[in-house]
Amino acid sequence: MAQPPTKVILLTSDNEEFQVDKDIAERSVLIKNMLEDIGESEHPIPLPNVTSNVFKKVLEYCDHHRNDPLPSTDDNSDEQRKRTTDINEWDQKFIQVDQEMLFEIILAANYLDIKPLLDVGCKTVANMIKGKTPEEIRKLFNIQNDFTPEEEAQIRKENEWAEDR
Amino acid sequence: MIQPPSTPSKQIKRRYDLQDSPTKPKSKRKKECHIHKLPDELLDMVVLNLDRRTLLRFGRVCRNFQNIILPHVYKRPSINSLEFLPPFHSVVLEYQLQCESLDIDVMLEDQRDLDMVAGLLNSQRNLKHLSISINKTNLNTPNDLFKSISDSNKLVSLSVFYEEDEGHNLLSRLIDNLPPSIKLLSLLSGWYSVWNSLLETQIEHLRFRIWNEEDNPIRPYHLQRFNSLINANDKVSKIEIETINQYLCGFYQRGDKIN
Repeated sequence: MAQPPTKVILLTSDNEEFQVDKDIAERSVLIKNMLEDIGESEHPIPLPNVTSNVFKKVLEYCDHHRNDPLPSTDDNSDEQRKRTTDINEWDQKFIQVDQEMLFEIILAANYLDIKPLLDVGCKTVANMIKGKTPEEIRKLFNIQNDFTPEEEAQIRKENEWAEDR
Repeated sequence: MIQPPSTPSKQIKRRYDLQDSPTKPKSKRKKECHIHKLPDELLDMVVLNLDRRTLLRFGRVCRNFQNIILPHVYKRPSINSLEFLPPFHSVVLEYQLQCESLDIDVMLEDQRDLDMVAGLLNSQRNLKHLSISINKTNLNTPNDLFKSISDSNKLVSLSVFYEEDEGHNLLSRLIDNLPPSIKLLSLLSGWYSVWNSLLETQIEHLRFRIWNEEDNPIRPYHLQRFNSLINANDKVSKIEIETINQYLCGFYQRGDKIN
């Protein structure tokens, strides 16, 4: 008879406990390393930098990708990841969240060391930026323009050399 | 997976508020800027996914983004007027190239090549970005080339690969005599051998490459070094450390981020 999956307990910053299959939790390199360090324990593992609502989303991602091969650490795959901004369909739907949640997911993926999720987040932000003018990007992210008109003109001039013609 | 208990609902509170004071004008919730929550290292990862045109536009959004994109712009310079540089010998001086960016994508070794590049630089009036690699041998000296770099008074960024034996100080001398227009110096090798020059340099932005094949090549003694450099030299506002694959793996920045 198949053994039930081992569970681990994770505690988010707002003191919410999550009982999670170990293989799902171990999509996070941080948690995987912590589990290796502490061994079997009934104590919850604290995740002080992640709130429960963000962690739920992270778990949704890890659950869906639980059977994916773990990301390789070799340079070629790293290169590959960085070259394409394509995001698969499920991930695209998953990451259709408001901006606050999107950036929280990126921060959580970085903290928890879940490279594929971090990539999805960064690529999503990159895709949001693509094709937009500086003013449109400011509007999109509600950013204040802190350049003086002179600085702006200077930067535009300096950048001319590198613009595609 | 056991579902966590649901969180206290903000929606209920909101509904109550609305019912409670129907005439109260809706208070406009100030739209927050969430992208500034990302530390520079993560913005750097976002930027890696941008094409050059978008990258430049992104840099024009605000000062912080401009700082983020600078190394990427310099890492991917375009060469105006030249289709093809890698077969370096095809560069003919008679063309009187007036490039603003030169990324010489070959390891210079023959003295003839070094002199040729020195001559090429002397003919450039508007050179702003230069990337160069030199293989030091007993048969060559980059004296003239370094002099040409020092004389390039519009140069904004310089990327150098150069390793020299102990007792030589050409790279140090180059750093000591860089034109004041330089804002970014990227040392692809040999930064440890020019330490004293770095402690005195006026350049705001330094980038060092660590030759170690691991994902994170930074060692505690590197951290000590870079900490002491940024503490000792007020002029340096930013230090970046990159891996041999040109990925950013460490980052120091003086002062507050602009939000």
